[in-house]
Amino acid sequence: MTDFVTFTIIGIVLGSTYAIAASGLVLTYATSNVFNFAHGAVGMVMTFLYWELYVNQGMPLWLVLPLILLIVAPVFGLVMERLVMRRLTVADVTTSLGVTVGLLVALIGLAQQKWKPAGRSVDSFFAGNSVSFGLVRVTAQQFITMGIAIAVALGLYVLLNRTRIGTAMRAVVDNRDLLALHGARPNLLSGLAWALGSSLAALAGILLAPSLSFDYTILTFLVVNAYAAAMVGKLKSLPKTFAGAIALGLLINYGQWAYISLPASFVKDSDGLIYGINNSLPTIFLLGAMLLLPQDKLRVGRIAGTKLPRIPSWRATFLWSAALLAGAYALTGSMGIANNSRFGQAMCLPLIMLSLVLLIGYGGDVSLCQLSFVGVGALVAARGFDIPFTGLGFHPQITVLSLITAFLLTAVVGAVVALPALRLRGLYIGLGTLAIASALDHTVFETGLVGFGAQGSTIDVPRPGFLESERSFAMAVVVTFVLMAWVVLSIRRSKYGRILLATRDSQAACATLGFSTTLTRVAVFSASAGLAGVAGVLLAGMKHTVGTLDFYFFQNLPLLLFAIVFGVTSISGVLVGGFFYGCLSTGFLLSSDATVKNLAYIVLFVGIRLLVNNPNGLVGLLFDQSRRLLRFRDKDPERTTTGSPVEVYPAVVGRVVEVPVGSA
Amino acid sequence: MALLEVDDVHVRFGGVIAVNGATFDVSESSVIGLMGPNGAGKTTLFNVITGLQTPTSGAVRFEGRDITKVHPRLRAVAGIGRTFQRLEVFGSLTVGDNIRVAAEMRGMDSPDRVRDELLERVGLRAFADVTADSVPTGIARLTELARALAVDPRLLLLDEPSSGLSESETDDFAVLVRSLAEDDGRSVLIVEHDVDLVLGLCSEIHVLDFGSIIASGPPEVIRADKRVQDAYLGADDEAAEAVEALAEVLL
Repeated sequence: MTDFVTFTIIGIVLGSTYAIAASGLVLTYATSNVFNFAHGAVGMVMTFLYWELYVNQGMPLWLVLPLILLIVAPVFGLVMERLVMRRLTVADVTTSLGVTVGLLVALIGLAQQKWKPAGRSVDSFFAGNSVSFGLVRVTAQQFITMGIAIAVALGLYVLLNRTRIGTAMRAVVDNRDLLALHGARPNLLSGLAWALGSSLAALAGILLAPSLSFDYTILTFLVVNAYAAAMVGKLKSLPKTFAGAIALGLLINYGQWAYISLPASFVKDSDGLIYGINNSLPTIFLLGAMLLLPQDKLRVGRIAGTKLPRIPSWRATFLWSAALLAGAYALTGSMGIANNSRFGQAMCLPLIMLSLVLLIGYGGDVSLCQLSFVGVGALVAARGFDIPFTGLGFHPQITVLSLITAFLLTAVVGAVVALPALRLRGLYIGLGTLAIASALDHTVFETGLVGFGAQGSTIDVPRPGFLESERSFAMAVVVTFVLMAWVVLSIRRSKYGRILLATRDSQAACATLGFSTTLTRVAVFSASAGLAGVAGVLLAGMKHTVGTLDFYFFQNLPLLLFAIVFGVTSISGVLVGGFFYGCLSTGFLLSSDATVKNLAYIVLFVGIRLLVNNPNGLVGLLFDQSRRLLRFRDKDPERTTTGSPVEVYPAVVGRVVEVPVGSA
Repeated sequence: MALLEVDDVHVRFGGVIAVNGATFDVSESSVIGLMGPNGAGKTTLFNVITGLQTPTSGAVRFEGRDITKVHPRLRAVAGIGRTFQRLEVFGSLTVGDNIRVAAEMRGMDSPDRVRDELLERVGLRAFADVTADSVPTGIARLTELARALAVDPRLLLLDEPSSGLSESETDDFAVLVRSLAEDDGRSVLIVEHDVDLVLGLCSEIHVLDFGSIIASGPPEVIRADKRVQDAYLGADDEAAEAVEALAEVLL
């Protein structure tokens, strides 16, 4: 009984911090239609700042808290709204996802740069003070946390429902222009919401700080749990969000209680699976909440169609491929073993990103678990593959057999992931796939049963004899890239490519032509996962040893970001973007010093901010400009047409007509 | 039996009644018009027929089958095609591919031939290789029409097809629509603001005002109908009065 009460209290306290963070998220989403992926990162930076001022500089608490919560965090929120978020209110999901993910990555880069990794801690408020109820002790910190959560709940309720500002805030999201005509100031209102949201993120971080290690990603993603809570309230309802947060806090703590009560031998026998499931409770909760969300509706009257780069002719494709192969051959011939190894590993990233061209560039869907598919492919190479109960299977190897197996297996995993995710809108697909990536980390990769073993452990991957040397394997990676690029381009040229683009442009039009887009989207998701799986086999071979950390779910974020910034709609875009990312990670051509990487993250964010609504990325931009500069003979028939272009209706104008997708 | 039967359809958005008991038929190989001022409920009615909007009450039957609760995709498969008032072209494909992909989606034979024939028929040959998001509105409307025709619908719903077309293009368009009914045996239901076009083209016209059908009949009946004149011209009278009143104040 004492245990039960103790875990319940800790659960409610934890849930309270989630509730505070989640309410900030809901507030900003409700007023600007932008789901802020970086919400947790804002909290993380503010928590580090809190440590810096309070612990490191020794400033008094009564000064530090108001300084951060009432000045720094709100101002940061205002600046964020003014510079970044305001332009995203009518942007498409990939863009707004890309930009907020970019902000997240940049903030982590910034924090790592300012506060080098080191052991840090802060004391609880009124440390040592507690009240005992029988055998159960409640600390001052716990009381304060619960009190603040209640105060936040009441405060937000009064603000939104009982004041004119609150009513206007709720109206901003529906129609900014209309609201402005009625004399309100939408920019001021959404600025206020972002200031408040940012402050709440900081508050949640600070309250969590004493019970956690100061880790950039852990702090950032603890607020992922807040996402799960916000999802219970469908990103709208604050009361439901609070209920969801408390439920999640309790779930996590009861899970912990169950875990420590289990017999030790049982836990050991599960080879990390029980531990993993326990760790994934928040993500399982998030996925569950998402499954309860209503099916997405078909929308008409939104912006459709973006100009893609021209498909290169077969001749150009052939010439570029030959040039790439020849260049790689000459380069690898001139370098030593270490550099060839780095080069090969760097080239694995364009290979992985090719799968995103199919999914994001052509299909218009988004995935934040692509690297997990790569991990599944790598597992096939590293552990071999057994078909249960049949005795059929093979040892760890890198052969055509393992490539085909990896493709098929990840394609199946991809389809399984796609089925629930694609019911939802782009934003939730992003969130859901990230949650799946995290769950796969804990329940597959980190187990000994089917994965790489506990975090940090690795498995050696045998290479086939003729690919033994670093140079030959690096060349194998490049050749695979070329072959896979041809496959992707052939798809683009075929009727499937056209259908894919049509699906992306208007699902409503597809439906009125009698075509089910659901199947297409699942197929593309699955094929894209399969390609990632193939890349995984090669990555495993190239690295010699692979482990959980190579596929850590967080790395999906920079992967997506590099692809979008450099241009996920073209092969050249992912080749440049992937190779650049690869060089940063492996230290090929560039210094592998963390500073370079951190700065690159920040630069990337600036890049993606500039590229809002330019889906073809930096490389697309470069191609456009060079064509213009070189004055290529313009065969573009568009230049010959006259008249006004197709009217583009802002997505916010007019009523959107909705019906369930694919419910037939 | 009529091809399409709309039976006492009501649509409410909260307290607003968008469609208030609309009942009409579309018979085989006919061109039927829906007219009415802005906000009369024409597009909502279209959405009810194609399944993008569920009616609050009432029924829609196609070929005698109740399709009120059938998914839009399956209605299209059954033979109902449409174009959109707010364009929904596939903006990243060329005009030609917009048509071809529709045939490809439905697994029809020789999509290339379908594309060429339809480009010819709607007169878009010159635009075949232009990306659809960079063509003028009128061209995009014709693209949507050709795309809808590519899957061979028995009933075609056109939502304000002539907006964005020039006068001579509108005349060509009228010839095209007539041929869809007379030569192909398709039925066409048109929502249109251009009164002359509708009166000249349709065999039967239904006039909507505030969600209710206020008049039905052949063009000559509609032209003479007092209520129609009020619904359409009344607003003009008020506008004229307003201008006069304003002129008096200013001068």
